[in-house]
Amino acid sequence: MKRQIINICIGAIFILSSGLSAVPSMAQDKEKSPLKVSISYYTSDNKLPYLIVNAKAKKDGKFQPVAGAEIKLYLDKDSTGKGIGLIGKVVTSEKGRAGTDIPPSLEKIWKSNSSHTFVAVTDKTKDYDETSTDITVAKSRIIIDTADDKNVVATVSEFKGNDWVPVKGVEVKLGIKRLCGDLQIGEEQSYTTDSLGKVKGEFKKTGIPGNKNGDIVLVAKVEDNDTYGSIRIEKTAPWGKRFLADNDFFTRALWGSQFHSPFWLVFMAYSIVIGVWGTIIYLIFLILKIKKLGKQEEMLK
Amino acid sequence: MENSTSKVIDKNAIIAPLHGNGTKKKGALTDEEIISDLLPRKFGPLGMIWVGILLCFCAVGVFAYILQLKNGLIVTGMRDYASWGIYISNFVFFVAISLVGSLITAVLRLTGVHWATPLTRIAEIIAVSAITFAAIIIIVDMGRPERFYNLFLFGRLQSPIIWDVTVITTYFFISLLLLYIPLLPDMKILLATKEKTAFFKLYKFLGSFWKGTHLQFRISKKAINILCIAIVPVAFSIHTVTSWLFATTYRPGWDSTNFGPYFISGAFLVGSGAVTVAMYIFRKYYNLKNYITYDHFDKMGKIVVMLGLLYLYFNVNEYLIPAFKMKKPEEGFLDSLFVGDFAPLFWSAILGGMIIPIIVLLFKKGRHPFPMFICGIMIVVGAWFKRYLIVTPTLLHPFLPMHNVPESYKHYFPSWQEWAIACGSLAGALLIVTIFARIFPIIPIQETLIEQHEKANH
Repeated sequence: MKRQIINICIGAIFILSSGLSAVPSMAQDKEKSPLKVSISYYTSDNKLPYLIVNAKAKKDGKFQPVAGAEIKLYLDKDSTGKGIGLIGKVVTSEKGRAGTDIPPSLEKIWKSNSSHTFVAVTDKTKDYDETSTDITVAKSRIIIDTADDKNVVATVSEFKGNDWVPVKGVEVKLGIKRLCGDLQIGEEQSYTTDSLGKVKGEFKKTGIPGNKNGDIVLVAKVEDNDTYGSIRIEKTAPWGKRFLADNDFFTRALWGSQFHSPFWLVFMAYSIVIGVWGTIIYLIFLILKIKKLGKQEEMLK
Repeated sequence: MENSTSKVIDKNAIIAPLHGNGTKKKGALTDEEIISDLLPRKFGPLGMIWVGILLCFCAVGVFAYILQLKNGLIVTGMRDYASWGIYISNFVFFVAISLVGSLITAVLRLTGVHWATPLTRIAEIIAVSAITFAAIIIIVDMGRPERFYNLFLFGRLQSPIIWDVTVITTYFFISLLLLYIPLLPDMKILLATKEKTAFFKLYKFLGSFWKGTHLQFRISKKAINILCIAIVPVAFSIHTVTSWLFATTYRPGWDSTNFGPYFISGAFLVGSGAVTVAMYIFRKYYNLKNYITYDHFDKMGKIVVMLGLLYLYFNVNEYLIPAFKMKKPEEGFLDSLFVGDFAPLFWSAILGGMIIPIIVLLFKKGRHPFPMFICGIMIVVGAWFKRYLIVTPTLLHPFLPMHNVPESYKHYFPSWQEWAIACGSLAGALLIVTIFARIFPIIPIQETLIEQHEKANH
């Protein structure tokens, strides 16, 4: 009897402990998946920067873009970590992306410091908890220059105090702007700035098609740098091959439009049509001749 | 099938211009008998039922087409991939069958073959009716037929579609002339019948001017010779151009230089098959045993065997070589034909439409009227499905895989509207032949009389 009671107690403890251990896991199932927001900072041609935010969340064991997430973006934050200047509210696309410029109303705050913090805040929703993330970026610029010996020189500087100071050790990519991306100018994928903030790359893509004047667009860019974000500059150089547009569409060809058939085809087609339809017309003439003979015969009778 | 009508024939009006002296060999038919046998007759009960059935099919087809016009091509089974279905198969079939006019009338006449005289008009009316419905069915395939005129306003000479429209129109007129000019002497015979038929005014309009003078005969003979020469290249063009509608398109199964002769040989085969079927029916139900004889069947059977072997040869070329190479993009298409979804249809068409008729017709007994009739039907039905197999499987096997498309895009099965229209068009073509045989002699009377007299003189 005693043994039976002990067994029942052990069983009850086992069931209870199993049940209790299941509760957190059940609770975990109902937990909201955290929304992961990242901010990227871009500057193109040393003009006003813009921001791109990406929102993603874990679903089925992997991160997937979150569409329709409302994100508030601030310029700089106070000591409590709260954003100060509202840049704007953006809503992510199907790819989980959204972007915005820094509005002119924040010019004063922008000019007040050489580095800034950008804060992205999302409110609590039925799917996600509130989140806040930020990045700090130093004001920087990149200058591109070309030399007669087909070398590309880029200089990266940082705004410190009231002046631009060259920055050493920044990875810079030198390329040529093409339709679907940038093509590197030589064999090196990237170059690192020296103490003068400069990199130099030799242009080796001779014979690359440019526009009708032979102009191509050279690019110098810093990508996803922890301190400076992504900065990019472009410069046109007459180092490409002149590209003459193919105007075959308006010449006489098989793919030409209605009145641009090749002469040989026009000649052949119309010769055949005229030949055959000429025969048909001649045959109709013969029928008319038979008819005429018949009428003459009738008149004779 | 028909009630024979007794007609009093004005013999002098007909026999006078004939060659020879009109003497008669023992056992041969008299001129009156020939004329009486070959004159068109009223439909009997069977004929009325036949016409009624055909009219019903046509009416259902017209109703289905009205629905298609009202709702658009969505009522069909055609979608983005299978954009050509049984309408285009039907079109190719009609164009193919129409070529028989040039074979029986022109090729055999030019090569000095005289035994085919009783078959020329059958072949020609099949050609005219088929080409008429080929033109109609291509308009049926258009989603917006009211825009057809744009083809002429904006058509490009470089496009095979323009070539096709041109040759179809040309072939239609040439076939019509080849039907009409040899009919002129028979008009005189029709008009000479004492009893004025319901079609007397039509005969008068079409051929009252034919007096049968030697000069008229000479001009008519010249015109027929010119037509026979002209129709051969036009007939070859019409089906070659039809094949080019496919062959100029870069797709598995169509990308072939073999397509022109492959289509023409198939066309001659199906046309001959159709003539064989028509020969049997006219012989049996119009009681033409004295005119369409066992000898005609025997000779037509040999022609069908020759054409069957020729078409088989092109089929071997068409499928064996791509199957030997088995290029990746062609693999799916060939698999679907040989062992896949289309395999039962494909092998039925090859066996039933070619191999079995060839084997049967190799034997003398196989070339008797009834086996010939059965073989003819097998060839015609097999040929229709063969055209379907040329058109559809290719469209369902594009070079780029079908991704992110509705399931219905990946398959094709004709809707009832398509079947109704296709059957209606086939019935329409048969109706033309039937009505023609009701109005005009289906075997040339004048030519038969001349041949009879020539035989008597020899």
